[in-house]
This record gives sequence, structure tokens and C-alpha cells, in this order.
Amino acid sequence: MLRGDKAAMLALVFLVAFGLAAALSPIWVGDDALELNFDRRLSPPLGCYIMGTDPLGRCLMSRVFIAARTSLALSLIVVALSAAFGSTLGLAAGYLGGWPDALATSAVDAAMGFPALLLAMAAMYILGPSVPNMVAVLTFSRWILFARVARAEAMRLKQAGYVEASRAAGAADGWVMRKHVLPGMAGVLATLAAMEVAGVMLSESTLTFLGMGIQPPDVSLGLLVAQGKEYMNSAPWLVLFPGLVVFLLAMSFCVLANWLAVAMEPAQRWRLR
Amino acid sequence: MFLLARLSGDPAALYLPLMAPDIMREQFRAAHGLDKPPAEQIAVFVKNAFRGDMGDSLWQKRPALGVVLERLPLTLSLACGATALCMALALLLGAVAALRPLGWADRLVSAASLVGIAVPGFWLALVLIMAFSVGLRWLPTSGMGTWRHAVLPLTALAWGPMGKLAQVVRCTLIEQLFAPYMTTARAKGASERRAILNHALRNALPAIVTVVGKIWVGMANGAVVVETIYGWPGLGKLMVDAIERRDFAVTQAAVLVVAVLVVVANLGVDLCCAMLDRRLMSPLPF
Repeated sequence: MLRGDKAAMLALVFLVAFGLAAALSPIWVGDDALELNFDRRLSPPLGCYIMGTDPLGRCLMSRVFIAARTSLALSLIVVALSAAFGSTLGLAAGYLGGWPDALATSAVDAAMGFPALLLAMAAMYILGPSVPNMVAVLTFSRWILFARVARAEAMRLKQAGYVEASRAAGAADGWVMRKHVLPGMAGVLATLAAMEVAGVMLSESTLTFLGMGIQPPDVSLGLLVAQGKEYMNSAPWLVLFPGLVVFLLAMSFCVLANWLAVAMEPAQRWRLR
Repeated sequence: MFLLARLSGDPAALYLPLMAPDIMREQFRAAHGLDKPPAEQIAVFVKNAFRGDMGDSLWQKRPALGVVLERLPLTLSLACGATALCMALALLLGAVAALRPLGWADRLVSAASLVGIAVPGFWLALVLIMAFSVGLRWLPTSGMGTWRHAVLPLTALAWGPMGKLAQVVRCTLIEQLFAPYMTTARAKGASERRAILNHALRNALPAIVTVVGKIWVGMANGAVVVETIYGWPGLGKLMVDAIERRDFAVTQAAVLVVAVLVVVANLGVDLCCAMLDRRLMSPLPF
């Protein structure tokens, strides 16, 4: 089915290849990423090093892969956490209705009122920049979307014949939600999750770029861009490549999300043949 | 927000010299009302806020609301300009794409909007500087003054939302293309272009206006990044500076002003939708 969509195929191949290379980077990168060598500082790309070197003579490509490992892992963890929390809440609120719904809806509405980045910025500043805090803050600002979508889907699916049949047969609420409602909304949630990985990656790199995210000695793609900014005039590749990687990764997740949206919807699947 | 700011550390430690005796610290806290319990501080804050008094900026020694309001027009002009640019481009591109779904123009617009969604804003801003200021030397890198200073910030701010909006315009227009009233319009001899611009676009407007409202709110996020990079002295840059200086009064005033703007924008969107679609007007609760 993936063969029907060339762009999605390409995105998947890129993501798998890049993800593997980044995940295994501690094994294959070696000393290039850490070793300081002032003879070859700021050497331009396509010479000895494909992406050139940084002001301390470290190979930029090795650093990009190590940074991408942090960024990718962080985004995936944040999306997993916020999807689990948000969709559970939304599912329960939408299916049960009544006061749980009113409570969840008002919490979501309150959280929607603020520009998420500003709130995350303030929170990061207070908690102190570190990877676990970053995960917590981003999860806190991202679960809302999952809750809204899951709630809307649960309200829709509650009307479905098979859900009513199951309830008429005497199934408990928990059972119906787990066995009938959740599988029914899995496709929509998967699409949203793929979009969110891109969104979280962009938020993380933006926060880090503004100096309120990941700090050295940890590296992330946003941090590489921030560090490269100082050398923008003399060594533009330091800004260009890490940002380009963020862009390509985010774009691949978006393309994949587009494909998921069609592939997960039986009524739309003919488009992929 | 209030509690978050208080938790971030003791401003007395930041604003007084390291060697300041404890008695000076006590005086500093008392002068700014920071020695009272948090509940009382909140009560005082709310009471004063209703009178338009947001406290004094610790850093500039002036009323915080004044500091914020003085920067507001700069951000508003940037956000308005970017929203206008984004709407104009998105309507144009979306309409062109919808004229022939799955044609080459449609594919091009879809690709461009995907790029808009996936490109990191701060990186785009830097790349624009590298290309047009450092490389071609056409435009200044940062600051403000002439119209030439505004070109790059506007572009950087408008690009991302433009992608989203163009996609929404395209989808809602294509949905409308198969509506019965479109058949009527075509049967009456309207050209396809006229049918789309006069009939489909009009019916697609409520959905588009809703998204524009969301984009307007999102501009607050984008402005922080863009203003920081281009040295545009607006609200976003002020907020970053105030958070770093633990200037509670200014941070609170800025967040409150943004919150008020968001509420006003949402109200505006709802009113616009009601004006565009009279059906929403009928069951008025008052």
C-alpha cells in the first residue's frame, strides 16, 4: 500500500536510514565529534569533511548525527507520553460525558488560551534547562491536541452501531472503550502522532535555539544552529546543515502523516492503489 | 504565570550587589512587596491590575504596563503585516490550486505549504539573513527604521502560517466545488473562475477566517523568535529579556496583554463568522 505513494515511501526510507544512523551514532562516529583539532577549524564543506568542521575543528556531520539522536529521541518520547495521556483523557471525557467531560473540556480550553511557546519558555526558564525538564514541559503543552481529537472521535464513535450493540449486550464502559472505541480512532490518532513528532521537533529546536532548552554538553539540532549563528558570516554551513536536517526530518514526518491519513481510512484507501 | 515567575528565583539576589548586607535585601523585598506571603501578593496584584496598575518594572524602574504598551505597536504592526501578507498569498495560491485539483499548480502549492509547515522558523530567519543580507547585500540584517528592515521579518513570520492557510483554502474550496449552488452558477453560464471567486470563496470564508484567527494567536509565538533574531524591539523580544532579568512585573503585564489580545482576536473571529454566515446569528442568547 505504501508503494502507491512515492513521496511517503521516500520519506519512510529517509527516516529509517537517518534514524538508524543517528541511533547508532555513538558506535560509528568515533572521536571526530569530540576531538579538538585547531589545524582544521572552520574548514568548509565537501573538503575532508562532508559538512565541514566547527570552530573547534570537530567534524560537523558527526555532531549533526549525535544531535539528531537527542532531538529524535526527545520528540518520540514526548509524543508517546502526550498521546498516551491526552488520548486517554479525551477518550474517557468524550465517551463518558457528564462531569468528567466538563472538567476535561474546561482544562483544555484554559490551556488553549495561551501561546504554547511562551508558556513553555517561561516554564523552562524556571525549571532549569535539562533533557528531562524539556520532556516534561513539551508533554505538558502538547497533550491538549490529542485530548481534543480523541474526545471528538469518541463522541462520534459512541453513536456507532457496533458500540451500541456492545453496550446493549451488557459490556462495561471500560471494555467498550478499550475494545471498540479505541481501535476505531487509532488511525486518526496515528496520523496526529506523526504530525506531532514534526511539531515537537520544531518546538524543541526553537526553545533550544532561544537558549531555554538543551544546554551543552548535550547537543541537539537547535543548539547546533544557535552555536553556528555566531559564525554566520564566515561559516554559513554551521547554520545551514543542522537546520536543514530539522527541516528534512519534520517534512518526512508530515509526508508520512499525510499518507497515514489516507491509509488508515478504509473509505479513502482506493487512492493508494 | 504569577506563581511560575515567583518560583524562578529571588530578584533581590539578582538586582543587588553580591556583598549586599541582609538588611538591604529585606528593604528591597519590602519595597517591592515581595516579603508578603504569596497569597497576599496575588490578591494585591489582582486588585491593582483592575485599576490598570501592573506594578513597576524592576529593571527599568517605570510602570510595567507602560513598558509593555510602548512595545506593543511594534509587534502589532509586524503581526498585522505578516497576517495580511500571509492571507493575500494563501488566498491566491489556494485558489490557483483549487482551480484544477491534482494539476501541476496544485502539486506545487501543496509542496510549498508542506515546506512552510516543516521549516523551522528560526532557521528560515537565519537563512534569509545569510542569503539577502550577507550574500546579496540587498537588505539590512537587523534593527528597524526603513521599510527595508521589515522585509525579512515579515517574510520569516508569514511563511509558516502561509503554508497552513493555503492548504486550508485549497481544501475548503475543493469541498465547495461540488456543492449544488456551484452547479447552479455554472448552469447560469458563469465562468469557472467567476464561480470559484464569487460563490465558492464566499462560502469557504468562515472556515478560512477561523484559521486566520488561530494564525493571529500563533503570531505571538513566531514574534518571539523573529524579533529576537532581527533585533526588532517589540513585545516578543521584551518578554525574552524580561524573563531573563526576572522582571516579574513586566513579564506578567506582557502575558496579560497577550492574553487580552488572544481573547479579543477570538471574539473578532466569532463575530466575523457570524457576519459571514447569517445562520449563526439566529439563536442569540441575549
